[in-house]
This record gives sequence, structure tokens and C-alpha cells, in this order.
Amino acid sequence: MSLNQLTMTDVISDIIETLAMMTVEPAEKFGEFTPDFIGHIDFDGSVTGRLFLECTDEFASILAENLLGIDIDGLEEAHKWDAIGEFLNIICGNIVTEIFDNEKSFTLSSPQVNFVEKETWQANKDSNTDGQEVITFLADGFPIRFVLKVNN
Amino acid sequence: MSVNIMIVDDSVTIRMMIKKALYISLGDELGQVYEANDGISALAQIADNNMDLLMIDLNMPRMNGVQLISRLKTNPKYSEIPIVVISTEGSEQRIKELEEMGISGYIRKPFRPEQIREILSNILEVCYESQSADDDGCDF
Ligand SMILES: [Mg+2]
Repeated sequence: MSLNQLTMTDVISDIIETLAMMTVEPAEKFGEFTPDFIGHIDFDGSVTGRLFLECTDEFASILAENLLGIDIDGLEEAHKWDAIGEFLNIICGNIVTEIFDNEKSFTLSSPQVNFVEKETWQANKDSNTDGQEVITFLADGFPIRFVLKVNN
Repeated sequence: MSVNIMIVDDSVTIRMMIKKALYISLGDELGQVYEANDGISALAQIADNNMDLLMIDLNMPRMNGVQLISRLKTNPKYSEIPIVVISTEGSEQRIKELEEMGISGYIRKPFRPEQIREILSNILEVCYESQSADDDGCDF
């Protein structure tokens, strides 16, 4: 694991535990999973790039329930989208300051969250991930993956 | 005493989390809670209502937090309203910039409800003191 991946693991684990109130374990050896949602956010500062989050519908539901403090009956689809976006925003803000620069400020874009088209996903999943940091976790037993892409 | 607070954040999740922390922190002292999802909607509501405290996110569409704070701090009608920034952007440069603009507090996301309670009690205490000194303090 690279130093960046170690830092990402620490920062993300901490946020999942404290903010999302979920148990978390790195799942390096976790096999393939097809996400239901993919989100991304761009950062621009001393370094520019994009952070992706891939997660399942189950994870999104638990995340929204825990953040909002409402149970599944009161949960609307929009809550899940918003929860994923803000979760990504918080993680990205913390990662860029931890990994790249704690002194200078970064600008973050608005997080974008989309449904995953299963067929497109299957066709593209093996595309080149050179130069990207990829980390998979199990949060409350559900897989989530983060991909950090830094522009050169 | 009743404190009217506005939460400006583009995430409904965060607005609900802050609102919950405000109820826990202030109990019966919490007055009206206003919500806006960007700076433009916030400005419209601030013009129409009495706010005692503003909690503002930085990363928002249409008008971001820095633009909103700069509009408020350069308008004598609103420049005295205390502002707490709650943001994921936590660099030293950004915090220094915001302090120079005149914000009263900064909380980094993810936050704990106790952080909100702490910062509120600090700000409200300063307001009480300036009120009792018959100063032109916070207005509640
Ligand atoms: Mg925001």
C-alpha cells in the first residue's frame, strides 16, 4: 500500500466510523462488485484531480438513515443521493488537505452522483487504472470503493 | 431569550444534522430556524427576517459561502450578525481568509454536535456581555 493509500484509509475509516456510524474494515482482497451509485467530486489547488466513490444501494440507505437520523420508512430516494454527495464532499476535503497541502486552500466542485448503468459498467470496469489510488472498504459489511485520480 | 438561526448549506443532510445539534444545544432558547441551500436564497431570507446567527457552508452552487459572507460583511445592515462557517475546506489559508473577513467561528466537517454547542455558547456569551455593557451587541 502506498503512503497516499494509507492516509486515505485512515481518513476515510475515521469518517465512516464517526460520521456515518458504521463499522469499517479495509477490504483489499474483496472481489469485484457492481455498484448502484457512482459519485465524483473535483478538487483544484496545489494539485488537481477527481475523487470517485462507488457504492451499493444498501450502503446508501444506511448512510442516509444514519446521517439524517430517520428510519428506512421515512427515507426518500433524494436523501440517498444527497447523503452520498455530502459524504464524498467531506471525505474529499479531508483527504486533499491531509495528503497534498494543509496550508493552501483547495476548491471543490459540487459533488455529482449518478446511477450506474450495469452494462456500461461491465464493459468498462477493466479500463486502465494506472496512476490511480484505489481503496475498497466494507462498511457494515457492504462494499464501497474510492478511486483517487490526480492530474499530471 | 430566543435565538433565530439560519443554516445555509446545499446539502439537506447537513442542514438536518445541524438543526438536530441546535435543538440539543439550545433547547427552549432556540427560536426560528431558517434554511437556505445557497447564498442567493440566504440573502433573500436575511432581508425579510431577523437573524441572530448564521451558519454557512462554503461549497455551494449559485453563490458560494465566501461570496455570501463578503456581501454580508460589507453591508452595514448585516455586518454585525455573527457567522459560523461549517465546511469541509480546512486549510490554514482558508481559515485565515475567513477570519480576516470577520467570521466568529469555524467548524470543520465532519463535526460533532458538541462542537456546535461549544461554539454557540462562546458566541452567545460574548453577545450577552456586550448587551449588559449596553453596547450595541447581538440583538435578542
Ligand atoms: Mg456544500
